[in-house]
Amino acid sequence: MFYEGEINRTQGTQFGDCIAKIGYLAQRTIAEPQNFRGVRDVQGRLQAGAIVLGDGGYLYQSAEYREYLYLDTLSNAPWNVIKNQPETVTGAATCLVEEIVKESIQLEYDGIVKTLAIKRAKPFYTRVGFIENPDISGEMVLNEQAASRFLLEQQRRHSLEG
Amino acid sequence: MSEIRNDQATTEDKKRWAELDELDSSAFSGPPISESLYQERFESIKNGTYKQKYLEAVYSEKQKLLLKLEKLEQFEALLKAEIE
Repeated sequence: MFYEGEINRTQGTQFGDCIAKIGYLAQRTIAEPQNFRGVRDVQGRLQAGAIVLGDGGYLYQSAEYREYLYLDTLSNAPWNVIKNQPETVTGAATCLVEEIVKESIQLEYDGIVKTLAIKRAKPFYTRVGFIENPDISGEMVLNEQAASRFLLEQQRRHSLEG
Repeated sequence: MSEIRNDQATTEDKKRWAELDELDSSAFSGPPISESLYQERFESIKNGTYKQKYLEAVYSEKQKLLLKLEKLEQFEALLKAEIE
């Protein structure tokens, strides 16, 4: 058992984040399976999952009403957090976010995605291109320009790394 | 002067991608949960009862869907009878 099964040792860690989010993700998936999105590895093992919803509103740094995909929750698989496990893969969450951005484009939301990131996850979303709304704690938005840059970067990476 | 090649990853590319890979495992989002709910989830994972809980939730959702289907079938039958 990781962290010797001691709850106090998991709190405030990425593994603790994983426990919190996976439980919520499972509940939401059972209640609304149509909103679940996930990525699997070549063995068919689920490596990251998310709940997404179509939404609309006035986004940070945008004066006009926009429709977007709301990334309600996202969780990596626990073995990707612990790392160096037989099931561990790299880049599962990035791959899932990439698919969600593509879906936002297909829905004619111009790639716009909004989420509520926890503190430890902000550097990841920032690296993808999300901008944090300083007025709402944790709210991060990927605008259409950043979405386009992210997809181009991923496309380049896939073509060069195979 | 160095030449930038589009068919090869540059050192800068590799650095950016490695940074993203490193951050990937921290990519969580969603609403925060209370301390008591966290404790409940942790214990259910530790003692393995979470699967039974999820199964019960699946049964509950299935029941709701079956009830909805039953209502829709009743409405369907009513409409068909009125059309005929």
